[in-house]
Amino acid sequence: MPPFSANTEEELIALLKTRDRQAYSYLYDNYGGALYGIIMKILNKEEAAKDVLQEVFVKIWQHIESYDAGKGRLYTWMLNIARNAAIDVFRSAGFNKDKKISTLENSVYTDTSALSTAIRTDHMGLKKLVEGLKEEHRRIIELAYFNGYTQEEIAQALNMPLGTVKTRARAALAQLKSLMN
Amino acid sequence: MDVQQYISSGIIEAYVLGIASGEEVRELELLSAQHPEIAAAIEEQQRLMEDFASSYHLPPPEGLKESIWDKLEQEATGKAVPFPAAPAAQEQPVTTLPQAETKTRRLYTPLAAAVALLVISLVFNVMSWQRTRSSEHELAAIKSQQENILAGNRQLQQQMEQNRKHMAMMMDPAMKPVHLAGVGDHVTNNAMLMWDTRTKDVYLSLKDLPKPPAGKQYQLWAIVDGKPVDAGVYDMNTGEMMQKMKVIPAAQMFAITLEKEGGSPTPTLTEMYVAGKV
Repeated sequence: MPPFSANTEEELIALLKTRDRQAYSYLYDNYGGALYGIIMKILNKEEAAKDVLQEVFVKIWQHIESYDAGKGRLYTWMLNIARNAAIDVFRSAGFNKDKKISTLENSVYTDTSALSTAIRTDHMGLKKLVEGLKEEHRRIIELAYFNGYTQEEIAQALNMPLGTVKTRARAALAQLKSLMN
Repeated sequence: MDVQQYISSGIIEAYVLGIASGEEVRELELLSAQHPEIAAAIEEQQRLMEDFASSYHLPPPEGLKESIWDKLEQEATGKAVPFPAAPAAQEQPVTTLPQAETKTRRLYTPLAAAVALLVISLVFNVMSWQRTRSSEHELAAIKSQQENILAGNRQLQQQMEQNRKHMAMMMDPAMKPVHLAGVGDHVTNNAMLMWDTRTKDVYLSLKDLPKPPAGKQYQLWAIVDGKPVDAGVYDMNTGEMMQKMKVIPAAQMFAITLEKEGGSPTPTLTEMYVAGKV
């Protein structure tokens, strides 16, 4: 992921708003893989993930005007679009009917191993990263970020008081940060 | 408020993980605009999540970029968003779409949309017009119903007023009732007469007599000292129960005969229907 300086990101956004072809091409070349990776992490199904990535680019195209730089960088904005679109598909009726996985909860446990085979050589570090997390930290990140659970649903799934979900989230990201560095 | 305490509450982590509630998000965005420390803390956590997400990076399947490009191209033409011509666009595989196809799509999609809108608009107009027309009809029907009811009401009020007068007349001790009994072939008929002893006005009711043939009218006679005096003709068409006849200062008898319309100077005795003594 090439880092954008504030200037070039501003320029990129301005070009995206004019529906500049090269800007979208650049977006795909530089962010397509990360967005696709997140979608695959959530859906773990190539055909569905391709459709979702297409949907994500259409949404970016349609809603780039409403992107607010004050609320976060473009990448964060796009990641959230991709996550939400993939979670919506995951939850849609019919998505899981041809999979053996019967509940959302199950997929949280199964897809780490499923993904580790899908992510091939250049992502060997990933497995280590997730494995390095304490179990309780890994689960809250996965339920929140990849499964779209609410605080209430997380409290219920992890059998903890609602008031401690945010504290746990903070501890989880603190550990994640120490692992990433 | 204690900014440090707010930052360390876990709200920012919840926000970047996508689990902050709508209310929490609004509060956070508001506070972030007011406190640069909060804004900085949010950005730090967003970068962490960006890096975390990047670690899942996976090369998208071959050909996906091209199909996404087709989709965006459709978006551009379908929504009539002008697709700016990129000077270096030639190098992009994406721009190898045949020009003619693009133009046709550009032309047909808005045209189809316009036709669809026109049809929708026409259908809507016809529906509204029909609805307006039926409303107008209903309104007219209601208006005429209301008029009928009002007319009926007025008629009832008039009748009530008449009844009240008649009742008052009957109850008035100064009114002298005279019963006229049927005579000859008309024994089954009766008539009622009220004679005001103060004003000498005569009121007659002929409800019980048969309807006179065309060109004929009932005429009341007062018999004064053995001679018939014209007391007026009775109008069967007024609908009034008691009709005011002529003033009769004195009489020993009253009688009714059927005469030609407008009355006769002298009674046709063979056509006498009812008579009664005062």
